[in-house]
Amino acid sequence: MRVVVTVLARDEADVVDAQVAFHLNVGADFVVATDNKSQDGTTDILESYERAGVLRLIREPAEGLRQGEWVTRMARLAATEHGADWVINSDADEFWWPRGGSLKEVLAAVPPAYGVVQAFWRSFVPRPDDGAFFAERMTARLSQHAPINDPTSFYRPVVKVAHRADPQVTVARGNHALADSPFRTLTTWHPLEVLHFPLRSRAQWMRKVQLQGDAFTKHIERSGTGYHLKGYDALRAGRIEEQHRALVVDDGEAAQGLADGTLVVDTRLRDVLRSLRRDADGREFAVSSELEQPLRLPAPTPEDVAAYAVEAGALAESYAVRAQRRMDAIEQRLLALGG
Amino acid sequence: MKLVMTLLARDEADIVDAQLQFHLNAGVDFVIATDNLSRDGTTEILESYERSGQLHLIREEGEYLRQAEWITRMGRLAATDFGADWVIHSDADEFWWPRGDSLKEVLASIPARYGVVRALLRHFVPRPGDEPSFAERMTVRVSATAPINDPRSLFRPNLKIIHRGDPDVTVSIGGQRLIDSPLVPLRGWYPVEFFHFPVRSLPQCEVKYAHQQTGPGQTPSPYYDRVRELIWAGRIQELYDSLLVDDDALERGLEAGSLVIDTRLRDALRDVQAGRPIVFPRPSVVDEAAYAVDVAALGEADVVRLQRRLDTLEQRLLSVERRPSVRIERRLRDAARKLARRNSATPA
Repeated sequence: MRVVVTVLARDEADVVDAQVAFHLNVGADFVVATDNKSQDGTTDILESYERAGVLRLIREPAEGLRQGEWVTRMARLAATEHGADWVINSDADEFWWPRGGSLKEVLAAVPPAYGVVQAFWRSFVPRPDDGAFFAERMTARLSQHAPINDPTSFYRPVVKVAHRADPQVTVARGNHALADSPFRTLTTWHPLEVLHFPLRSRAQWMRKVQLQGDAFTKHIERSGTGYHLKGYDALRAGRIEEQHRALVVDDGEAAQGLADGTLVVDTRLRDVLRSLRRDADGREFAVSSELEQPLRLPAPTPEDVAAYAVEAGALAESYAVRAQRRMDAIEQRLLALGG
Repeated sequence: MKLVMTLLARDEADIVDAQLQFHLNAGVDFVIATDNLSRDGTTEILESYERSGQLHLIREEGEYLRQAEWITRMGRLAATDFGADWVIHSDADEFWWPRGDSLKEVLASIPARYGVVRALLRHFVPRPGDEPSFAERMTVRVSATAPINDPRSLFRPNLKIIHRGDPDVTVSIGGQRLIDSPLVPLRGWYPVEFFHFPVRSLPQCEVKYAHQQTGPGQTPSPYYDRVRELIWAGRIQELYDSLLVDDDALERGLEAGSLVIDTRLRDALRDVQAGRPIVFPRPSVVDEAAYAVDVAALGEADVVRLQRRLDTLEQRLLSVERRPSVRIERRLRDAARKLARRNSATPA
């Protein structure tokens, strides 16, 4: 069994080294990366993994953040040229955490009839930036006991997909689903978590908002989703500082969240990355061949399993609400037909 | 953006001034009010806002409460005569609280495909004491997650709508939905809460439910059926006592999590009194996650409901499919297909 991770990055130097190293240590055999015009050192980091023979780098000079297209290209390459059995389509700020053992063990357990696994997105909240590494600072994770269904929030519960390798695969924008896939989707078991760190610092947030805002206004036909628009509106209105401040969870809010259970302390990624630290040129983390003992992730405890089930319930509820909204749209179409 | 609030009132002098002051300071641009036979000074209060140009007053003499009809009339007027982009349908005992900088800011952030926003009901309970201001006295509300199984309870989870201005709108009784409207509701998220203070004192309770009684066949809920029974039996005091939360009950409720202290409206009205702007705190993600649990009490993610809606949609689709025009089209298509098959089977 061979697991290939694809990653699309543009100016993500603060996170991408850890991202690639992490996946290569938890069961990924190879990484296919697309670097889209990075200027902050991301390219150098990806090149260092390329030199180590564990990553293939595609340099994409186009504008417009054509995510679906670029991810699809990588996912197909994973199947045709890199011998993948399973493909994980990741963003640079995502860490795919297998619930027990390694990515390989978890994916090997998926029954043959199923070809798509829905990984559960787990958002870590932004914390004040004291200049420390993001994983050291961002150890508070949102724990939704009921879904935040606000269409303008980026905390809506969602899934991301891993799939069996397929030379004809088409990955939909956002990596939430495959388009026109023959694979069956496993919908009730989420053996992978995606630890997600979307907002790490003020500078990174402004860059992201600008980039996505430009893409949605200049290059993409449909309008942006709620939170893109909100951020871009704030940027254009000169209120981005204020918006960023409002998004950061300060110590008081963190204490309140931890007390009422809407936040939990989750140091899993921090601890793994600490154990992988090394001093060498180009890369700050060891790859598995450089470790004395391969990394093994602990299996979840019964308490973890129970807490996870509660949150997976909220995830399911959020999809029920999405289904309601789709029905509203169908209802309107019927109404237009006079039905 | 222009935000118009409609207001239906009958003998609500103890609360209506605070209600208007609050909303005119919270982002409402204009009010359309219907006064239904008030005798307690409500009319004079509404007239004072009319004189200052902030309110359009309709005097409704009908003895029976025709709520849906009157609200619909105001809702249409908001669109046709007052240029409303969004319309809030309020009662005199309701206070609409934005979860964001202001009502306008919250409504402006609603994606264009949605035309209806739902607000989550927050129920405040009557408290004992001589304090004349209801807002100073009533700072306790029922927790949205408190288990309430009695269908006759006043405190069941509920919602009301805010909608984009529409000259053809028809509002349902209770203002919970639009009838036959092309406006699509945003389901599953409630960016506005409305604080409800239906029972504030024994005298007010008596007057309120005496008026409710005058609308036969119009009771909007099983709660009102029970109220009617108690009034006929002359047991209004008993009704009031059953709703009143004294200090012992408060302590037990806070302990059990069925009641919470909520001073938001009290503090906002203090700000208005002192001439300060109302500050609506922008909720953090921590607040939103906790709020999501309250919202879930409305059960919109319920799969049984989902299936029921699917059944309805299927029926409607079926009726479209059974239309003569659709059937003729299908027959023609079938015939064309057969013809094509026959032609291709014929050797050239």
